[in-house]
Formats: sequence, C-alpha cells, structure tokens
Amino acid sequence: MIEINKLSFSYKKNNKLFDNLNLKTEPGHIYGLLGKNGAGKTTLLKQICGLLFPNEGICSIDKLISKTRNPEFLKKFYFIPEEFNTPAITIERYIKIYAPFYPNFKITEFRNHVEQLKVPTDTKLNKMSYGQKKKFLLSFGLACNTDVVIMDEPTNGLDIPSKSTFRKIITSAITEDKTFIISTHQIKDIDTIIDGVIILDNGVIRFNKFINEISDKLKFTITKDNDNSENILYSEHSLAGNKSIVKNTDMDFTKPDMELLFNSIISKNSKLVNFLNN
Amino acid sequence: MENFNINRVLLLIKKDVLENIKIILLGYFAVIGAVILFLIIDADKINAHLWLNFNQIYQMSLAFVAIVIAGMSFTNFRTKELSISYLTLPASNIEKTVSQIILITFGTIISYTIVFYISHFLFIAIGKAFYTIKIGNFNPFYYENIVYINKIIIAQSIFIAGASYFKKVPVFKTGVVLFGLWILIFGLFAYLMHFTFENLPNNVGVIANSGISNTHLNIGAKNIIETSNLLSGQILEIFLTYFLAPIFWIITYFNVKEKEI
Repeated sequence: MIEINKLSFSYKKNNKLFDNLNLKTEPGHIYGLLGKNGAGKTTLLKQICGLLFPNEGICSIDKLISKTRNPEFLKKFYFIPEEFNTPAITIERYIKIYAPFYPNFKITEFRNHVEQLKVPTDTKLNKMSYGQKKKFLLSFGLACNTDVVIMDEPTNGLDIPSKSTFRKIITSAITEDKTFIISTHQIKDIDTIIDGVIILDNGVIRFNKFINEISDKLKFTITKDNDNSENILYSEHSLAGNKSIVKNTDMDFTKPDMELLFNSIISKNSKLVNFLNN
Repeated sequence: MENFNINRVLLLIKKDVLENIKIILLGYFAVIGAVILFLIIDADKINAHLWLNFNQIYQMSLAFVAIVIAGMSFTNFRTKELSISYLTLPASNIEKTVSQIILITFGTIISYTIVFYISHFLFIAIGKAFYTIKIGNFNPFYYENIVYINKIIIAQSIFIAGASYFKKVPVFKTGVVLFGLWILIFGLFAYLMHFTFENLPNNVGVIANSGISNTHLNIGAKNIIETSNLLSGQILEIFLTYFLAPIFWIITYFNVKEKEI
C-alpha cells in the first residue's frame, strides 16, 4: 500500500508544489493519476519512488519509507519513467544484469510480454526506437512482479496496436496484491483499464475515487440545451448535445467519461465533489 | 543502519563491468598505444634511462588512467534518465558507493597493472626491434610503485567524490575545486607564516629581556621548531596516508544518499 502523509514539497523556497498532501492506495487496483501538464504528477511519482525527498511529511510503500531507498523498499516497486536511457547491450545481457536484483522476476512472463508487444529481441537496446524501448521496459517491469508498478506516461510513443496490447497486458497482470499507478494526460488511452481515479491539480489531489463509486453515483449522458434539471452536476457543449454528468438517481449505470469527469474536477466543480463525498 | 549485502555489491560491479567493458578496454589500449607511439617517435630525443624506466611510465600512465576513470565513476549520475534507473535499482546507497569504490579504485589499479604488465613485453619487443638498448623488466611489486599506488587511491577518492557530486564534466570541476582549495590552503599558510614572523621580533625581545641569551634562544627555538615540524609532518603523513581516502569515500556515500533527481 502506498501511503503519503502530510507531504510538503517545493522546488524553490516560498513556492510550495505540495502542501500537506495525503494519499492512500489499496492493493489490487489500477490507478490512473491524471492531471494537466505541470500539475505535479511526475514529482509525486518521484516522491513515492524516493527520487525526491519531502520537505515535510512521509511517503512509504508497505510502511517502508521512500527516502531511505533501502533494498527492501526498492524491491517493492518498478518505475517506468517517461524518459529513459537504455544501455548499449542486448536484451539477454540486460536480463542477466538486472533481473537478479528482483527476486520475483519471471523470465517466461517477460518473454510473453516481449512477444505480445512485438519487441525485437535481436537488436541492441540503444538501437531500438523510443516506442520499442518503452515496450521492452514495460515487459521487464511487469515481469519483475513487484508489488507496485509505477508508470509515467506509458502510452507515449506507442503505436495504436501496441496501446491496445498494453491495455491487455496490464489488465492480465494485475492481481490482488499488486498496485499499478499510471500517470498520464492522455486519459483515453487508459480509461478502460483503470479502476481508481486520482486527479491532481496544481499540487492538490482534487479527486480520489474508485470507478464503481463514480458509476454508482453519477451518470454520464447527453442532455438538451433547455434541460435545467437540478440533477445536472456538470455539462459541456458538444455537437451531439450537452455531454453531462448527472446524479444517478435511477440506478442506471453508465461508463464514466473520464475526460468529462476530469474537466469537471479541474474546473473546481464543488457541486460534483460534494455530491460524491456525501 | 543501511543494509549491506556483498552479493548485491557484486551484482552492481557486474552490471558496471558488463555495461562498460568495451569503453574500459578501448581506453586501456588507447593509453598503451599512445605510450608505444610516444616511445617510437621520441625515443631519440629522450634520455634512454627515462623512457626505458617502466616504473616511471607505469606510474605516469596509471595516474592518468586512474584519474580519468575515477572521473567517469557514477556515470549513471550524468543524466536524469540514467540516475532514475540507477537510484531505483534495489541496492542500498552504501552498496552502490562501495561497488563504485571497489570497481574504480581497486578494479582500475589491478586491471591496468595486469594490462601494463602484459603489454610491457610488447614494449620490449618493439624496443629491441628498433634500438640496441638494454631494457629491464617491469616489476609491479617494486616498493616505489606500491607507495605510489597509495597516492593514486587518495587522488581517486577525491575524483570519485567529485563524480558523485557534479553532474557534468566532473573531472574538470573537481580539478577546479582542488585548485581553489590549494590556493586557499596555501594562502592561509602564507598568512600564518607572515603573522608568526611579523610578531617574532617582539617575542624575542621579551625573552631577551628576561635574561636568556640569544644562543640559548636560537638552539631552544630551533629544537622546538624541528620537533614540532617533525611531529606535524608525521601527523600530516599519517592523515594523508590512512584517513584522506576514507574521508572522501564517506563524502561520496553522503552524496549518493542525498542524491535527488
């Protein structure tokens, strides 16, 4: 379980990015960490991984403090950053070097992922394209079988078939004891696989709910211009009519429109948040 | 207390060797090639005793190789992307520090000595082919070489600490800092000397008025100065020989521990 308690952090003095931020995640879920550019997503992930230290407060995974960066803590997670560098070695050599650091690494799983994502196995890692390197790292990270897998913009650089395969692999890899955190601003790429939504805006967690909670309470529908129902919590004009989030009073479950939900939260729609919290 | 597991240290060393083996070997051969070229081109101009003294050539080239490689330690800290991958690798900060110290310090010295020892037979073969000069063998266990290696370890510890701290051009930046420190220490020493000697006539005057003859004063002062010089020299030597490198290793550890990306 990832736990962040009273986290305060600033890159510059007198300009706090996070102030008293709290977050808890539960195992067995795929969380989408959503936010605009510069919202603090990558900084938050780095705090969780122990790559940045809090000014105040604590980040931990299963009670192991991130700042210590001790091996027991580091074995708990695998971090796939947005930008990365791969050494000028073959995949086989990479496995020989890096896999022994992860006691639960499974070579068969790695080979399956590599095959599914169509990663070339006869090319040196530094000669691969950005997308191929990313697919390789995804395969390796998932095969490490760590309790937590943290991915920063994992679908950037992936072609359309690879995005689809990525979603399949992620959903098949999640188990009761694992937590996946996917940070992205491309909501559409992951909206079908996440079951937890965390929305970060200007260093503040504005929203942290599971999809089933959202579906239970909210309905995503098209409303007419003259519809002024009290049940409408948020709406956006579109060619098809008004895309709206309404109170789900009739237990009619709809698939959440993540983009709409995200926009409503970012627009600081207190009506919607208050309704969900009650 | 930080975790320490020798197997993980060995894994880290293996990682660095396998990732950088080509660069290391190319570097060694480049240095040895440069030495051979230097010998062939400049043999006539150089005193035969100098260029045929393998111990000197070994010491000079080792200093160059050792400092350059020490400056290349913690290569993973040169870019943000490599740093992320290195710092999230499941090994403690102390294991990462120790692996670099073992690999860079002992690894460089031992491997370079072996490469040089093997290559010096090549030097001899080339030398004999071109010149009719008596050439002696290189002995890595020559006492002066062993004493010299201690100095290399100290120099390397400083450059390793620099490489763990500076992101870009660590060898140059560490060199600049060292030069700055040297100026500072030299300036401080010069100031202290100036301060001491400026006040000396007054002290002598006080002592002279107390009835002690100049001859006694000179002998006594000379003895005190000689004894204190000897003592401070010994303390400084012990400090430099046994404590300086570990101090810089500890600084390196804290640089790694406090590293943020």
